[in-house]
Amino acid sequence: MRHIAKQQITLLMRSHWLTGFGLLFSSLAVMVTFLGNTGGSGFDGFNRMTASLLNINLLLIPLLSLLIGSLFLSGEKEDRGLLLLLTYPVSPWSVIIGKYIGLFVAVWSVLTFGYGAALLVIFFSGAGVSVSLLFLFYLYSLMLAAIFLSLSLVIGIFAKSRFQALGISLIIWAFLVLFYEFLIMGLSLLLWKQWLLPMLTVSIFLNPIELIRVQSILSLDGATVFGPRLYDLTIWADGVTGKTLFIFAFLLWMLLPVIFSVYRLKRGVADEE
Amino acid sequence: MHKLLRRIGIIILLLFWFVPIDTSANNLKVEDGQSIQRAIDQAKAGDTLLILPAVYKESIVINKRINLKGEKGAIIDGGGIGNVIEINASNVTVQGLTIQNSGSAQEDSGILIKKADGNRIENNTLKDVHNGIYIANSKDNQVLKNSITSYQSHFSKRGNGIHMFKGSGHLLNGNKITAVQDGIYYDFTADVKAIENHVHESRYGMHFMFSKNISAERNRIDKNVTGLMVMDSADILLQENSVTDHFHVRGFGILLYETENVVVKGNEILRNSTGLSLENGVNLFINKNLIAANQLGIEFVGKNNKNLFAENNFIGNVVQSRISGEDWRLDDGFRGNYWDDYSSFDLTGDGIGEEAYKAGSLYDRILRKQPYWQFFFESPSVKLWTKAGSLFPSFGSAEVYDARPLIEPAEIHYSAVEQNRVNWLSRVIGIVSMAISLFVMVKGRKYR
Repeated sequence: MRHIAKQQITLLMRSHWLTGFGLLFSSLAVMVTFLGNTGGSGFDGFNRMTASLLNINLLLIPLLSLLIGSLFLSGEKEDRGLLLLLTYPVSPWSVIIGKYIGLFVAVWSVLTFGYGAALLVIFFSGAGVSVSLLFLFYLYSLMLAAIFLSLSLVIGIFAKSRFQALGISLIIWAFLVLFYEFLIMGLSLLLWKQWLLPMLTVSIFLNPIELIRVQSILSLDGATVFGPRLYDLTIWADGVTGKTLFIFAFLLWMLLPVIFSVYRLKRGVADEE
Repeated sequence: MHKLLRRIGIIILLLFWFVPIDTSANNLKVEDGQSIQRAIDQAKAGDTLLILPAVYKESIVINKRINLKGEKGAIIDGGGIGNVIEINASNVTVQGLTIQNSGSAQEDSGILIKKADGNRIENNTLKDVHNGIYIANSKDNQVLKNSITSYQSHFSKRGNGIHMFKGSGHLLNGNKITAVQDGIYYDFTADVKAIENHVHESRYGMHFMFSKNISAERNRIDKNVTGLMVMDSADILLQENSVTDHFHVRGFGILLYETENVVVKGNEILRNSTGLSLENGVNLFINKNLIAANQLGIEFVGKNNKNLFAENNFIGNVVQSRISGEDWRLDDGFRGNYWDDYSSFDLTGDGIGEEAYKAGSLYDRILRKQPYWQFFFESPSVKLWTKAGSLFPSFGSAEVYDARPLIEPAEIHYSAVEQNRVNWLSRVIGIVSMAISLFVMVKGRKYR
């Protein structure tokens, strides 16, 4: 397992994909913190700078994770590397988890670099963005990466070729980041008023992006951002039950796809022979 | 302060003058089982009554110049009828007492000061009282460092923390007021200074009615229905107050209604339903306030005349401004305000954006129809939508705008020390995290 993880890291580090994404992410993070800082104002709750930073995370990290994971896995399948690997006496568990760890370490290094660069820019520009806020976002970014890397494994296992993996990743990404919310908005027009709050609550847990988005807004400033109409939801989600459910949902989103891809790999090996 | 010194000087002079006669200015003690009222009746003007720790179940009327000094644990219990302490004489001090259980009629209070001047109420704890301290038709009283709570009940059944009816020249400093109807009520009063008081969990933090020349500085007002309610008053100074967390659906941070000559400067107005609401005001000067994280940042209703509105920071309000009147400028002609959703640039380097800031985005208008959609505030898809909307200028129907929007937030006040520490920390963490990730990247390239 350790070797598979190591090999995965090496492969990723040598590819230009990761470097490219790393540079893109770092430069965007730096630009947002530099241009949008409201440091001198003395307010460090949820504002539009933090919203932009959050949006960069919500847009880029899922995309990066999905593409890297699914393309590498499907590529290996296409090149028969995976099949070769499976002829060795290793269990599918250690293959998948090894690859997952390798992917995660690679993405982690990119994110750490990006956040580190942003912090340095904050220091040199003399802006007053709170470090605890950035740390929080860093944590949530890692969670996002953990969830979407695990999803990418499923895509990689399912896709027959690199191009198929690319297509599926993009469709899933676009749906989760953009269309999901429009769908919920549309639904909210059709539903009865008393059903709206439960519907919104459920919608948080069905989409990992919503999960992270809502949770990071709540942990920044809580009640006001979602407004008076959703005050009940806010109080519930910010309480103990909400927090527990959030962690539970995060673990489910991270573990289920991994387990599923192991299961799939066990069968898939049989299929392809 | 100067005035105060002079006054003390005069008192000391008078004391010297009366020394031969007033040799009997005594310190008297009141113990458990004795009556404070009887001690007052027997005391002479100028005496000091030291109240030893015990519960005294009585209501007291003070009608001569004495000092009432409570030791820790001295409790006066009014038994739920009338006022607990009524002061009819001038230059009385009441210190260090716990005062509880007044009646619940309109004017029943922990301490009632009626037609009496220059009294000092200091370091007392008032609880389960209808009104905390009621000052009627009096002058120059000082209310310092008291803590006031009313009884457990809906706020409509409670009285006010400090109620001033007519009279003038009072000083309120460092009082802590919780769970009353209105924290501090200015009722036809004038020339009052309220400094560093803290009002929370009440109906209104401060309520101004038909009052003149009031200044409120560095007060903390939070978690009430409405923070500062200013109506039909004039010459008001609101400076460096912090007005936060008024979530009530009809709650406001600061509401100015039909009021003249108001200075609102350097206040922190955070997390309210409506931050600042201006209705039919005249000659308002609103400068260097931080208006952030409110549901609605600022609201203009009706006709506001001769106003200056500049150098305020609007950050992260869900709706920055809503304007349903006319004749309003969002800038003073030289400098405007900082709006964190402003997205144009400063090309000339004077700190002012070249394009006017237009109030009201597409999202604001959608939100009015679909309040539940606030759930998607600043989310990626909404951002995409509003960006697409803003590309069509015909949609922007707002007529009110800030012609001189600031590019960076106006400097208000913040502690430089803390800023430095955070920056040092950020440099260290930044370098360390970059070094670790680079190490992993380089190391990872070589397989073993």
